[in-house]
Amino acid sequence: MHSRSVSEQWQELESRAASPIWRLVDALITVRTLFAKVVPAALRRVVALVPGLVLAGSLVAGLAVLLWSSLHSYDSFLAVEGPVSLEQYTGLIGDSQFHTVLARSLVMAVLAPLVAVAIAIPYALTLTRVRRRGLRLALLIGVFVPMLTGDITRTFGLLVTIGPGGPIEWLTGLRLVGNLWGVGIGIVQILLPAAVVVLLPAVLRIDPELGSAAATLGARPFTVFLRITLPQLRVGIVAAFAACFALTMAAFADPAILGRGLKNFVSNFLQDRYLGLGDPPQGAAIGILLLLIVSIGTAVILTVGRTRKRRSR
Amino acid sequence: MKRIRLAGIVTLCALIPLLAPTVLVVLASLSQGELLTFPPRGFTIHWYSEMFTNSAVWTALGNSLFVAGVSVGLNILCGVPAAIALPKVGRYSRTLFTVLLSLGLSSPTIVTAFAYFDLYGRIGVRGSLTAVAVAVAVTCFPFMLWTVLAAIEDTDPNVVPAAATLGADPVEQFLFVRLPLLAPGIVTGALVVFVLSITDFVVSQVLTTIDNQTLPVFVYSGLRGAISPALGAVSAFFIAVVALAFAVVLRLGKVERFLFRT
Amino acid sequence: MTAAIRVDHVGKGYGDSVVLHDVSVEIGEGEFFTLLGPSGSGKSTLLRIIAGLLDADSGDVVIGGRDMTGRPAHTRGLGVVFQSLALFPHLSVGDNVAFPLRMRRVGRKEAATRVAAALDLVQLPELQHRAVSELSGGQSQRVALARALVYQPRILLLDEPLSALDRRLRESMQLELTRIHRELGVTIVNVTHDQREALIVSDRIAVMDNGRIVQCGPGTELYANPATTFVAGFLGDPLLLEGDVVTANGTRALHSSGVAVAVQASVPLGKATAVMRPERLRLLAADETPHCYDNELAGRILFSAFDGQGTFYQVQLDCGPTAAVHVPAGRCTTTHHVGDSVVVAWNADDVPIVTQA
Repeated sequence: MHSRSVSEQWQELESRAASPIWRLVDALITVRTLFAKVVPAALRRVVALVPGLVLAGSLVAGLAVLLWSSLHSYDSFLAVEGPVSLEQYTGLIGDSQFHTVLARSLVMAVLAPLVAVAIAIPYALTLTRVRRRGLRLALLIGVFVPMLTGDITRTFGLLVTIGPGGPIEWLTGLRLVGNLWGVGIGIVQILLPAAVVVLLPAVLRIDPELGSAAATLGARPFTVFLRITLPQLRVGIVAAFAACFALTMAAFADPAILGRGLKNFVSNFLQDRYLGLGDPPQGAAIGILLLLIVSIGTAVILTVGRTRKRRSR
Repeated sequence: MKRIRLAGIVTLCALIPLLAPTVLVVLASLSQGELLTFPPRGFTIHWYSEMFTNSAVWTALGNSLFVAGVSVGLNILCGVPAAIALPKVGRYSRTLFTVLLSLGLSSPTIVTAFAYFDLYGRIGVRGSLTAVAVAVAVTCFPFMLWTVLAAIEDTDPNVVPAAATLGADPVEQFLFVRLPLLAPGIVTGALVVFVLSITDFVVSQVLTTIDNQTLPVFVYSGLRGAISPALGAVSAFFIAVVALAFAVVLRLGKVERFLFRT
Repeated sequence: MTAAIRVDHVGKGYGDSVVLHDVSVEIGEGEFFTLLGPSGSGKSTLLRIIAGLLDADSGDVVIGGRDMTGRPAHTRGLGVVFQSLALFPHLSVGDNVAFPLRMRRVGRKEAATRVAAALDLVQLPELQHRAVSELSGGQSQRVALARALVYQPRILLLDEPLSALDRRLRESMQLELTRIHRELGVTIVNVTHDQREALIVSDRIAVMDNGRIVQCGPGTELYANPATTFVAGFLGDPLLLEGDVVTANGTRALHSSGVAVAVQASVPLGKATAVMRPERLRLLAADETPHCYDNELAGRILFSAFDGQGTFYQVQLDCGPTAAVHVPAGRCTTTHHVGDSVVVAWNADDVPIVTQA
């Protein structure tokens, strides 16, 4: 409370109100009280959100601007924007290169999450059940470090491991760089931490007693896993799949570095058209389309996941 | 339990391919020869000395540190008040905030990068490193928010009201109770944002120019994917940064509590 | 007694649901007052409104003669202990207790003296430097109390602080609370769902149900003369017998499913419920018939169990219902066995009658 509001009973005793820290606190209290008098209660609570809203809002502004750009034709010779039109979108629909790139991205966006989620489920289960702290730590490090060290380090590490001159090639003679295998491995590496994080709450919510009950009724461990554990994880699995889908569609570094530019995804295609070819409105259109595809795809996955749940009843 | 053993085997099989690249990068940075071959041909710290004497590397590192610093600052200033206020505001504000945030999360990174590219071009700040830092900060914002919100959930909701009943003005409630309790969560969030910002590639390589490249962009453009130990030295540097940050966060004891809370 | 707290027609609702309906109560200075009720009865909400942590939708709260409506919690000068205790984990025990003094700008030396005195009061001397995480359940309780009392508030509010403790610890803390109440003379408002606790510690109890105060008075009064069947059922574990009070042959009796229970002449006619508390009924052997009780019903023992304080019997009455009787342990009591013929006996004033309004 402000030093002035303290009752006399306390003010008569030895007080530290005069010290600099408390003087500062008193000043801040005075400011806040004034602020509270001037600004109505409902507005006050929103004030704290404003900086965050502005930050997040800047992205929305950028996306709006991008959308606007995409709705113009472009004269690449004069490097000038033309009038408003849907030319970019109609052009892309007919662009065979775009088709190739989009098909490649979509196929990977369905396959890679399958692999990632399949690995993430036992990974998350083990993570929550190991007793020894050291092992759990190793598991956490293993899954998060590749994501945290950044795209460059991560893909370089993969390049060293699976690329020419690396141990995998030396051991097996497989060529994994420059084709979709290498890209796929890289993408799964970045999907794994996301899938684990999304699955963890679902895994933690599993009721161990259901499994024990099934076991006492005679179910074998594998049956317990298939019919008891997995259904309880359904919501988490669907969410993990949706997250992985979005992340795969957004892949940039893996196709560029591990695919050596031969197996471009939509992200690389966007950059090529925008900066490489110097056609900003076309690049913008690709970006908007990509955003739409990711949003619609995620929504579809989440709804399908939900209806399947109802049907199984 | 058999299930644990099978799961354990799968996990260990996953751990090796996950950690091997990191280990090999460090090995690569120490190996002789321009191109990497396996098995490595002799060890040297030549690449590190080359990295440290190259002034362009230092400039790029400086740029990365600037971007990371601004990103952390912005995220703390915007994220902490937002996380504190979010549980308390009305339905309208909360929905608006969640929608904006989801848009940021679901937007593919390259699209975010070009959205800012377009925006910055129109308002004339293209080429400003601070502008790059703002874009990077936005991509890290959901992580900061998530971390601080988790820290808030972790604390007894009665603690701040208790401080109030004991005579603490809202200012004192914040300074003497809320902030100290959130500090570990804020530090963790800041570290995550720092690491993500300093290693950011996609956004930086779109928004930076030749004159103000950050370290990952510099390394990529300089080598264009050729496997060279010089790239290894920089990568090993990033690994060291992450390892240090991880160690600090572990010390704070927050990692497991965040991930394993139900 | 002057009113330390006066709650005037306080109402509170969230969206469509109403948590408090027009609640009014007066708590006297120095009283140990308990708000008793099941979860959802609104007792914690009322306490938080008194504390200033929640705003009432309607009505006033007057504390110490001053209208506190709308005034924030940090200006009210009350002591509050929460169910979760809410000790500050980043501060030591000593710093926790000193916190309210710091807020009042009390100097270090003076604060240290008062902290020591507060810890002595709760019988935890020399614990200033301990970390909060190292405390046991009972110790944390006492530290929370010390923190709420160190600045000598006139009123202490307790929001179910003992409900997380195991039974033995809870009972010793209940006695601690009464000791502190006696020593300090502070007004205490206690919120609990434990009727035993309410009866042990309180001067007066207000029973709450669905946002309303149903009855308010000393524990003995509520026990002997419950105003509603809810209050009757909440204190103790009685069998409630619903029926009609009629006059027959000059005496009043409550008729219920074949049983006629003689009641006092002052009981009004009409629908009523008899509150048969197991501890107020007596068990006599079938052949032992002194005929000096107002009510005697024959039956057979279905079940018996010794529970430490006495023996609990379940008796199948010949006229239909089963009665529960609790016979306290003692030297002169006969033990009855399953199958024995017995007589359940009581006097009219052992069984309160609640008239349905």
